[in-house]
Amino acid sequence: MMLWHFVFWLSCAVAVVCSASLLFVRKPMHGAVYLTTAMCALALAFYLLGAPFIAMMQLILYVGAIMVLFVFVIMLSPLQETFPLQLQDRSLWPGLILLILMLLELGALLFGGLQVDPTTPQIIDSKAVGELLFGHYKLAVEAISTLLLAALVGVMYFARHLQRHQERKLPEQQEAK
Amino acid sequence: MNLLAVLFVSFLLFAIGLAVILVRRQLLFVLMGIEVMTNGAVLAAVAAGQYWHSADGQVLSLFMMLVAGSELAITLLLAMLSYRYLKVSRIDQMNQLQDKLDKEGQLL
Repeated sequence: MMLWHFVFWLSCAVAVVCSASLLFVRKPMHGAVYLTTAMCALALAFYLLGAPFIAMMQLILYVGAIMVLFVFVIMLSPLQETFPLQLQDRSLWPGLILLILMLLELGALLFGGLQVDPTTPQIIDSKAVGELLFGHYKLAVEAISTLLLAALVGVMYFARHLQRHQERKLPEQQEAK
Repeated sequence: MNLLAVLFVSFLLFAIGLAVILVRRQLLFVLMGIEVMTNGAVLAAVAAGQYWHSADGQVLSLFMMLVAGSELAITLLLAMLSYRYLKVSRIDQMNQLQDKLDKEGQLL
């Protein structure tokens, strides 16, 4: 149990520190690397909490799909401008003040006498998740599949738009040469 | 497992993501901040599900991941389109719909 606490809190700390470093990095590619590290650490935390299915899904979906998308877009984007953190920008202040207020509220909530009994983590395997997913949440699975289909159609539409624009631009460039 | 401590970590992740969105005005960093916020919410859902020994939390977090993925596929493509067409990479430069005024305050 000692080892469990050590590894769990270490992975949580890695996730939080890597996410916080997104505030300071200059290049989007470095940010993508930090975000990938944070997601891997969170996958370890999910595994240690007793949710191996979600841990693997975190690796497959976030690290395998979403971060690959991010890296593709960073590599394909023609603009390589970087904007470091600028705290003297006055338009940032209201948002930051609200954020600090939110953190204070959290502190008041957590340290204001709220009591929760500690439990030992229990493994809930993919069989239980699958039974619930295709039993009780059948309709939600259908809805989410429709959402994925809609996203697919939308991405295909925009990508066709992008391709047509490039084809139109190419003959003009050849004429200019 | 202390549920309050795990919830504190998840809230910290959420606040960091919100701070990234508020402070970094670059499009890609805004999307990364949204991802960090979603991760914080997923951690809260998984921890609560494990606390009550039920699989509902894992189902909820799976749905959250899928929604975040489908949202990101479209928004990343929109970000790339805005790079190509508008030559803009910061959200506060996306002001093509604004009215331009001359010195007397009249519409041009």
